[in-house]
Amino acid sequence: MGYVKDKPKLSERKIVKAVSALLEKKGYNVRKEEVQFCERFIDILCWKNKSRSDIVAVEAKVKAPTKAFEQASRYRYIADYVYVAILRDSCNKKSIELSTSTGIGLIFVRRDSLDRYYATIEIKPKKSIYKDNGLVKYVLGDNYNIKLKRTS
Amino acid sequence: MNSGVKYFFLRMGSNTEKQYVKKTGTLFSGLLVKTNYFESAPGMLSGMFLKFSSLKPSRGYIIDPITYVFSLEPEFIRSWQKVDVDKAEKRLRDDLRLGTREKIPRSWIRKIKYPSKRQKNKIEIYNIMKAFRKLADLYFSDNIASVIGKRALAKEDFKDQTLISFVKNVISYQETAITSRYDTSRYSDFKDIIPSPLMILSPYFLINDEDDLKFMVKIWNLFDSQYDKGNGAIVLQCTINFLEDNLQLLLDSLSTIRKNNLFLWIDQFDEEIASSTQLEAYVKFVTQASSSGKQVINLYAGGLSPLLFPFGLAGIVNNVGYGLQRGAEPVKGGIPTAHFYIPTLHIREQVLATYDLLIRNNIGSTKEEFYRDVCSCPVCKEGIKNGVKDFVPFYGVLDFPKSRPDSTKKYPTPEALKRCTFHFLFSRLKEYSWAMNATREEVIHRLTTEINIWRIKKDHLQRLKNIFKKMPSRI
Repeated sequence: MGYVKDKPKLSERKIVKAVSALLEKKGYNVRKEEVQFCERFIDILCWKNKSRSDIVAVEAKVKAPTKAFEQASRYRYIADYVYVAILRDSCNKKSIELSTSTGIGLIFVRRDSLDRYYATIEIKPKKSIYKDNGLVKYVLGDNYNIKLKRTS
Repeated sequence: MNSGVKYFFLRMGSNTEKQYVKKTGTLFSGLLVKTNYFESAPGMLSGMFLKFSSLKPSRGYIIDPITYVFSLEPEFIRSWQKVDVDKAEKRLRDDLRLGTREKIPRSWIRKIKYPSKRQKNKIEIYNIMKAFRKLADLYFSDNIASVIGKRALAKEDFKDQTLISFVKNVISYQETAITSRYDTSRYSDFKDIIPSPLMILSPYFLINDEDDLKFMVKIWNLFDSQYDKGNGAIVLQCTINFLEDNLQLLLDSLSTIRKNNLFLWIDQFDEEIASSTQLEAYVKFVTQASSSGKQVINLYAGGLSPLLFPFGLAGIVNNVGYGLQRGAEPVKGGIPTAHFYIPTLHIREQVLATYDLLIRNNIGSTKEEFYRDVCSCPVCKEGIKNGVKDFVPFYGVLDFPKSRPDSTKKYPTPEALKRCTFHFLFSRLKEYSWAMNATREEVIHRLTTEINIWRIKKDHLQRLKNIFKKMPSRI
């Protein structure tokens, strides 16, 4: 029996990296750190620099789409568009069902032949009707200058 | 205890809870503290009990002997402690009663990861906590006390005579915990006015099976014979599975015990997620035990428990913090998170989860609607001026913790935690004072109203309502 190298485990970090690249390509200014929203951390939060109106929030998960959509649904209070980014091949059907029923967008992350991860938008999200600008200001600050690091 | 009177005790678990107890303590039937906490702050707690007794003589205090902890794995009563390097081995040998030939495992001693200047000559030892060492010596005979901290106690450790002295010691500890502190000539004139505990609790261990029950019946019988005053209370700590599967056996066993006061602790029983049959077992137990003359007080009452008053529950004990269930195995605390108690759902949720529930149920969009359908306690009235949109900025304030300079995560500010805690205490007091005089029909009507407020997350209310409809009232 020969030696079989373990398939490297995909971490959430790789999904975040692939999705960030996709959104940057689409002209979004992507925060480099997770953004805290009460007890939750939003994996990716970004917006277009000019308008600052189209806030996009992404919940990244390797699997467990039900949990991902449940968490992502809470981001609709501060974001215009919310996505769940998930590895393709893990519960594709369930993810598509949840995306269609909730209006939360779906991003699939795949691996190419060179072992690089790349993301594609599978289902576009509906614009959030729950976004509360007061809450956006409270969480992100006046000019979205979120205090992510300790200043002193 | 008077039959028909309902009790609401407040459990104080740490010094940080003192601020809440000072402000609201006299509104409760009494205070309850666990022995290990009492041992860590006896002066402050004795003073507090005296003060409360002088303000409201009818209110009192209870000291929970928490004997069950000695039957858990030792990790729950041990901790890493910093000591001088040259004293480390001796401390471990003394505190854990290790013989000179017994080897100290290497894993019990370690270097301090980031020592400060003052800790230069110190080291960490995995030792038994001071309060538990003291309690073990006070509760148990020497041969049993010497194994505490090294292994979990088993039923077989107790011989007849050691069991009698154990029961006696636990009673004596509670009776004299406060009075012994004033047993000097300095206080001789005040000796008669030092208050005794409102109730004396029996020792108790977790019941998982019939053998455990037999052992506990033995302890309860000994307690009956060793303490014949009316304020004696037996403690029943069991799993929900055991309660469900052995309801009649439990009731039959309890009927042989003379003591009528009964503290009930169902291990890890979460009233929100409990199945219908589990919830029904709890309600049936309370109804039938109270029918046979027992005054059942839930030691770790969930959100729904006050609604059981018309069905025979005699009282509840609540933490200052908002844990609504508890397992026997202690959970180590970290930095606290803010939870909001939702009075019309009788559950607690984190701030964002609560906000999400309110929005998804379309509840509380104006302040009037919020006060009607969610809460109208003084804290909510202070902060919720524009309905649900004020919720996160008022209850969910976050900042970097001062106690963790390297933290990149924000935590609820002390103000946010204070708001959540006072809101919880006020809400529970309101529930309690409503339920203590409520009838079966009023409780069912209240549940119906609450079910109608919420579209989602209300299954537990429906489950309880269905059970109540089948049960006769005890009032």
